[in-house]
Amino acid sequence: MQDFNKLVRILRIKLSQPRILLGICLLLFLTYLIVVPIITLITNASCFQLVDTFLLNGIKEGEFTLYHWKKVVGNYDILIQPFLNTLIVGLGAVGVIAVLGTMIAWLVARTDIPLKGLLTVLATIPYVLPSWSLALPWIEIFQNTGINMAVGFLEYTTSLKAPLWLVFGPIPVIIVLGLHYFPFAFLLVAAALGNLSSDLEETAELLGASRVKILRTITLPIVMPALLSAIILCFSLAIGSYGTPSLLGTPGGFTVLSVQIKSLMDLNLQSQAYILTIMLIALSVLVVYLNNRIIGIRKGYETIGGKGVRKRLTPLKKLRIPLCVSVIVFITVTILLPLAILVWSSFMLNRGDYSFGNFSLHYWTGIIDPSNPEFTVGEPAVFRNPKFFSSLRNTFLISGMGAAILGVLGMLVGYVVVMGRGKQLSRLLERISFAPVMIPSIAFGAIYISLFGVSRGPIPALYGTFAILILVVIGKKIPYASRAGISAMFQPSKELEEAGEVLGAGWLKRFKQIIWPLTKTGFSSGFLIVFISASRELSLFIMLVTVKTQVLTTLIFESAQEGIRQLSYALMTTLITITLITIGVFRLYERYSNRSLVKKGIL
Amino acid sequence: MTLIEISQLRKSFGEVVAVDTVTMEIEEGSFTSFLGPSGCGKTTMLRMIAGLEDPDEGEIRVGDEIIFSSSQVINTSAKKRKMGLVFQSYALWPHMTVFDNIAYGLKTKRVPRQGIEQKVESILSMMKMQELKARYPSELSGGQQQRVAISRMLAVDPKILLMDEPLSNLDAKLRMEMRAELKRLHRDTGITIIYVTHDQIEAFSLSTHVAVMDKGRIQQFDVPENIYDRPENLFVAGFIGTPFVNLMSGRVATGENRRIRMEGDFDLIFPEGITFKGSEEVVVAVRPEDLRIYREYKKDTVEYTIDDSFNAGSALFLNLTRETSTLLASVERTFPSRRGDTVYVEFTPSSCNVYDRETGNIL
Repeated sequence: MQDFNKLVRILRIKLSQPRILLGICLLLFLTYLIVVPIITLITNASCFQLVDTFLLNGIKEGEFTLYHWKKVVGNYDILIQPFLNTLIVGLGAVGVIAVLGTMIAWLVARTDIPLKGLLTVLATIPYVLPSWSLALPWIEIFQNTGINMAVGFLEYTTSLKAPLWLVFGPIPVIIVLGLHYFPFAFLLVAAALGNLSSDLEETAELLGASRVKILRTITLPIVMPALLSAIILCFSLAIGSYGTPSLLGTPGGFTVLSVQIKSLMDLNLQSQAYILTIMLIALSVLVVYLNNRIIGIRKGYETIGGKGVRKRLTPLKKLRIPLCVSVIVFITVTILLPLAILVWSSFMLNRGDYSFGNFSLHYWTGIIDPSNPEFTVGEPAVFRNPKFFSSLRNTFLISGMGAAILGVLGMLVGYVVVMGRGKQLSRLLERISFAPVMIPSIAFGAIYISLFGVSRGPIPALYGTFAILILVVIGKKIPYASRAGISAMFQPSKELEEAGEVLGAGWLKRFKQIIWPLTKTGFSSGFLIVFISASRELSLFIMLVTVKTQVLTTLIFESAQEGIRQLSYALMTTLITITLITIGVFRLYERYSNRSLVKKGIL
Repeated sequence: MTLIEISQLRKSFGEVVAVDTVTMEIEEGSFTSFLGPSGCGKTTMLRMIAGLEDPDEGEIRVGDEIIFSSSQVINTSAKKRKMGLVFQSYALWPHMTVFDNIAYGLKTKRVPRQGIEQKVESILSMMKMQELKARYPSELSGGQQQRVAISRMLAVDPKILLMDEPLSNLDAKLRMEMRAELKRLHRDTGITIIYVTHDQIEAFSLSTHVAVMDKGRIQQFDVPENIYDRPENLFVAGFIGTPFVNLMSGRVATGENRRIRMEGDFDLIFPEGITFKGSEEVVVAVRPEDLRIYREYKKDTVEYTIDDSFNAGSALFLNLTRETSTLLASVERTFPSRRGDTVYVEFTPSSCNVYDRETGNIL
């Protein structure tokens, strides 16, 4: 009894600390959004669904069964082939990402290459594009009459007919995903190289090592953890992406897990789709596990700095200009040119005719008779299309709401994690808020169907509502928001808050008057990154949207699949423009708010 | 015997002249320290000797070999200079074990495996680190990291070992231990060591020679005793010594070239043999510990009043005043020191250094 009283007293003291109370609430909330769905996913995969009762006799919905597992596991067409294909895509894309990202990062961070600012901007362009925006121009460029398609840009300009394997199949999927995701590797490796003190390299030089040997034995191994974490991130992104493999893989008979999950869902075979989702998550988790095993305890080398980081740039000598030019040319040809063709194609009345005479605003404003089925398949032009306006509104609503909620959530997570550094609660919260990185987007969509598809307890069935889309944004994007929140919370020292506490300010007052003013940049950067990444998400939403909740990305994808390509290009152009404007507005806002902070002498 | 000959060495970073035409000779087997405040050019000197920084002008010679010469356009690369350098940050490679860190230089020299193992083992045992060889740098304490950084350089048997503030990241106690260890290392290996530090106690306790640097120039290069006893200019006099030296202005009395009229109105008479030119403005430097303080009047003493006293543990420092001038003196801990008491100060002219006020050079 005494022990019990003691326990109550301890609990009361602990819970009276707002940080702990807040931490527990956040933990419960995130558990509900991240852990619970995975559990229901597993149980649902092991139960008979309603649809099964129509097909099989003598079973009840919800009954435990291994029926689906037996059917799927070991089945070449349903599971093994797509699984292997997913592995090929993941590894292939990661290879492209690692090579491109590391090379450009090294050039920018460690050499005397000119125009570093420009190169950095160029190398981060794909970062702000929807992850499948290059898949559309890929088809536009390489399609040709040789494979019974319309004339593409390549055939139009050079009469070359690309073979089928270059237009559809694993090769284009890998290249397009690689091009989209290499900025992650570039940014992470460049940051690691930027923190690498030249002392480490100079020591090797003094001991007689050549430049190549230094690069091989010192520089690369030290930035390896950064590269590996970029690789893990990109691997998870690549295997969870839906748009690119669906547009470029499927027509070539190349099916990956994400595409397979979606088609099983469409066929109402949810249990099988869930099992594949579990496999996909398992693959992603396995890679993270292997990474942790390899890096082990020396995760992220912290080199002890004495006089700060001294950097000596490697002189490229005669190669300075040629290397700079080749990076610029490379990015122009692989990214800017396809985007230009995408935009140009949205102004083409007839497909495959790149002449000026074919220029038309038809798919934008619909000046040609909209009832002419020749050009529109009955679909109005962008600016006359009610679907465009509703999907645009939905995109802003979902991304905006999700980003706003996550902005605050990220700050709160950051507060609990940073202020409680070293404590169990802090560690647990940090871990759980980063877990969604390991869950591919498409899988998130699937598990949210399994959780919110039917009503559970007080929570009604959410399928077809905006709420489920906002929730999935929160669940999937919490890592970005938490990262922004955590790094913002590191800015003010703990003592600033403690001083307020000593002076008798309550927690809310402290947070509002001390913490928030000093860390609100964390909110805006969390908001920005979530808003942008949510507004271009396809795989996260593809299984959750309905006609009413259609967003821009899903509309683009649908139009592309229905063959109204110019319309989808026009929509994609609009989406990219919106993204760029959003970034521009936020940058201006940040600059303005930073300036006001500087004026007040805070920054 | 001279090992390193540096002549007319110059280096600037943009507008800032880091090293300003330095000429010096470093003896073989010596332990030479570059001592100076931060930004005096000492690290740049070291990096130029190592070959990590290219001088603008001048020449560096090691033995008979010219390793850098601006006039003859010679610049031996760092890896061919066969020097070791221990960085302030230690610069241990975080992804390699202690063994691999130390073996690295031998591997680049393509020493056969057995030779590498033997050599590394012998260095490890010399530095008393055998049990640490499988550890990674992040698992070592500061002192152990320091030892690995030194071992790594010793493994390749350099003729010259350069050290850039190697002890500044250690705590006070460890620093004392490592000082003793460095001294032992120098004695046992006979290697020529060039050492950069801003800590004068470190420089004095370790070095056979000290080069005091300021504003890119060598202010004085000598054995430690001479630097302490006879600083060649006011910068060195003011920089060397803890807590600091008393600098008092004075003027050589007209017509009497051994008598200096001091601030506070008293005379210092220097012994035969030392003569000053008439009516010069001078600065007299005297260390707190060279002053004798008496409670009772004695001949040839000057009367001062105790303004304050500071207990520094091993000694007691007195702040003394006489009219507008002040004086810092160090006395026994037991010295009775009440504020306002009168004491009598004896200046020993032979322990005073006299500088020309204008040029700052010793007279």
